Amino acid sequence: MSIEINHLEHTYNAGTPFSHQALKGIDLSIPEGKVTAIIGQTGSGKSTLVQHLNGLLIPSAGTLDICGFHIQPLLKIKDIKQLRKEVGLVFQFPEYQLFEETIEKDIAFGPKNFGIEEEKANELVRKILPMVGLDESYLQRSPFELSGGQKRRVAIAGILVLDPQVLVLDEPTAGLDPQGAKEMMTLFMDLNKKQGKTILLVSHDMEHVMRYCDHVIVLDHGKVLQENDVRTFFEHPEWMIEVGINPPAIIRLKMMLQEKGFKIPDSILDMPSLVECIKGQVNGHE
Amino acid sequence: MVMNNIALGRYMPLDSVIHHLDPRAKIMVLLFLMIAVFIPAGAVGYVVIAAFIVVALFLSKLQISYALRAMKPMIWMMIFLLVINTLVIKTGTPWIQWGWFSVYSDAIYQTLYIVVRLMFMIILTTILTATTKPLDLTLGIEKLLKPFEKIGLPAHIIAMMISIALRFIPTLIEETQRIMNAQASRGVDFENGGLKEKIFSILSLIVPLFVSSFDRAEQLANAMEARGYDPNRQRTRYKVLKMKTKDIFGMAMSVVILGVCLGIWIL
Amino acid sequence: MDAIKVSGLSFSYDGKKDVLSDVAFSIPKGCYTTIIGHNGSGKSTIAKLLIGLMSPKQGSIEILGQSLNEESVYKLRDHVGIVFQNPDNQFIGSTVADDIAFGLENHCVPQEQMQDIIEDVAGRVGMLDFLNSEPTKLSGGQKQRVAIAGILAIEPEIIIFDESTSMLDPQGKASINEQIQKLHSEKDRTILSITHDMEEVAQSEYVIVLKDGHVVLTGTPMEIFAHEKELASMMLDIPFALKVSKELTKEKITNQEVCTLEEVVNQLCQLKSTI
Repeated sequence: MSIEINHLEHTYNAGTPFSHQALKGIDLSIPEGKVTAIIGQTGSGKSTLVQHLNGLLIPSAGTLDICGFHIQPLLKIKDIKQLRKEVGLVFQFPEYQLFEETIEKDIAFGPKNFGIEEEKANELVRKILPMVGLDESYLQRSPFELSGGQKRRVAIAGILVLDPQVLVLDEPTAGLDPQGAKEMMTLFMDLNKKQGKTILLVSHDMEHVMRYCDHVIVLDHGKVLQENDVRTFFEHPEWMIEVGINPPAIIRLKMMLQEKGFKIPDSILDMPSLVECIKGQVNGHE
Repeated sequence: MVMNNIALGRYMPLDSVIHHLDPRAKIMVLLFLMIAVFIPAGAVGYVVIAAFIVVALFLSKLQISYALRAMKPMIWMMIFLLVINTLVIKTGTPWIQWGWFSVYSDAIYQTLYIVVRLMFMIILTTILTATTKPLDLTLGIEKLLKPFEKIGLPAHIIAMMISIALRFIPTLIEETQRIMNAQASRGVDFENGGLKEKIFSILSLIVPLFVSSFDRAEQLANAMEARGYDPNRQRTRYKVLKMKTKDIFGMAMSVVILGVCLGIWIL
Repeated sequence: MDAIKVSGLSFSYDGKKDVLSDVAFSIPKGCYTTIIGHNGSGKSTIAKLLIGLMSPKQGSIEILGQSLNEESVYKLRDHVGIVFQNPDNQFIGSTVADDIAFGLENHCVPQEQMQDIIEDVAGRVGMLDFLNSEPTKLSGGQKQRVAIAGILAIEPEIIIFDESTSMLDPQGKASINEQIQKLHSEKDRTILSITHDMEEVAQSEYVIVLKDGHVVLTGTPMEIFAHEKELASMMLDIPFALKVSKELTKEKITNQEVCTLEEVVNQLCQLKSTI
């Protein structure tokens, strides 16, 4: 079942001098089992939108249908707590949510909040740990003695252990080194391909979006500017420029060459075809 | 959520006479009036102070509703006070007699008395913080404490501490909100649940907040040191303060009010 | 004279495991150097040692020919500025102007000169319109630009960037990289940038590669990138432009490998005009 968003609006501090409308009528249909990127500049409404997906925020107007839950204005958060088990939300720099003495306890914290017995929860922890690339020797260690990248894995495990149907990731690779980022993205792609989880990725990194995502949503000033499959999106670099997003390196190269009079079709998005295309337009060094 | 509605202590960027007063003058006025509020000068004293507050509020261009909202968090305390006073104070004339339950006039007067004082204090503080940029306030405090440096009071260090605290309040509020959201996404319910759950949910907020604050503090200390800050060395200051006639006038007014209240009390 | 000269440098946080061991390098005056290495390779420790926030276990650091020690550290901070990673945790003032003034105050610059300096440096990083803005109203990239302005106000000869772009969005990153380029080209400034961004590495003049606290490679970007296998073993990737360039040379379209997009385009344009 896809995620259906209809005329969603959200206003912070409504009725006060600090009132601010962050979302101004969002209509979206996010496909199930796919990897969807949500992109846009800081302040475009991305974070506000994703916080609606697991009921952290309730719309000021409009509706949201997700995982069998129908969310509308004035709904009590209590009634949708269960939604948070179905939609896992990983915030930016999630390592800052760790607080328990041991890694085992910290990962088991979520399941216990949802009423799962301690023993069963610990069993789930043991199952989830290898998925994030950590072995059982970590179970009894303190999360605070880990490296930054490992802390983040533990924090993400704390959400994955709930076995959510939809996984929402807010800049999951921010601040990681390139290798750490790659491993993190591989983990999410596995969850998508092997377990069919729907993944929403909020990202600034267009290389990641181009490489890993199926579908792209562009937000700008609280509105949906674009909604496309990833290919179509990257075939139109002017859309990225319009909202001030830096295109991936290959597209920047393509644009630079086009400017210099090279004829390169917009449909070229990979290096071998780009090189092939250039080859026909220059005198080679034989 | 709740966090966004904090009105107390927030600077309101308006353009008014009060905004342009010297922060030192404003702090002194607040100090004098606070003392005046605590002098038992009866109804006349309160009317005089109230008049001053109304004028100041009007001059500051702040909305009345803004000042009133600052008092919202106090309502529960006031109700609590009323209940306690009703139960404890049994002097004056009994106004309500209902079985074992009775309300005496003194209980009501006593409560009103405290409530009015609290209201005055909150409104005065709100006017000060809403019309003075945090940094100017700190600078004012520093300059006012300067004479005490002779007896070993580190005025500039105190001022630096206050200004950094003020600078990081919004950052910490944001951080608190973020951690709350993150833990709520792990099924924590911050509003409902029994005592055990409550303690746990608060722990899940406090521990990360401490961890990240210590992190921040360390990075901040590094950044300050790298930029040449040494609390024991001489520094020049970017902002300078200048007292003008209107500042003197404001302070004089508050001294007069303090005098009136003192006069009523003593005579 | 070298801007920075480090020899036999070792450091340990816990007294047992060395984060840096026997690190030696020297950076000539006016050189734009990048330091790369995986997380935990000791990169940021070097930055903290160079600015005198910590003292080495062994070895010596010379800044502009002067040995760095407890007595000289305050004086040397007139010559070395550093921009840290987290934009929020180095913004000390409550407005942009106040933050830039913070360093001036510490360096006892007379009050009458401050306003002019503040306006000048804010203008140079494109933040002149934000002098009275509070940090919460600024983006990460803008805050980092303010941090740069704060350093420029002191006019140090050496500026260190400690992963200053890693928490920024791509625009922020681009604007800071642009500033770094400008800082390097406009005066004889020495720039030392600790980074993950291989595109930035390609722009620099000299590269130091760290692995587990040791210097393993040094050289120009092209010399470093030639060790593709070794870089890969350290989980470092070569920049995209070089990948394209390698492909182009393999296809015999170009005859020399280059590592920035601009150079690739220039090469191809020259070939095109000969048609």
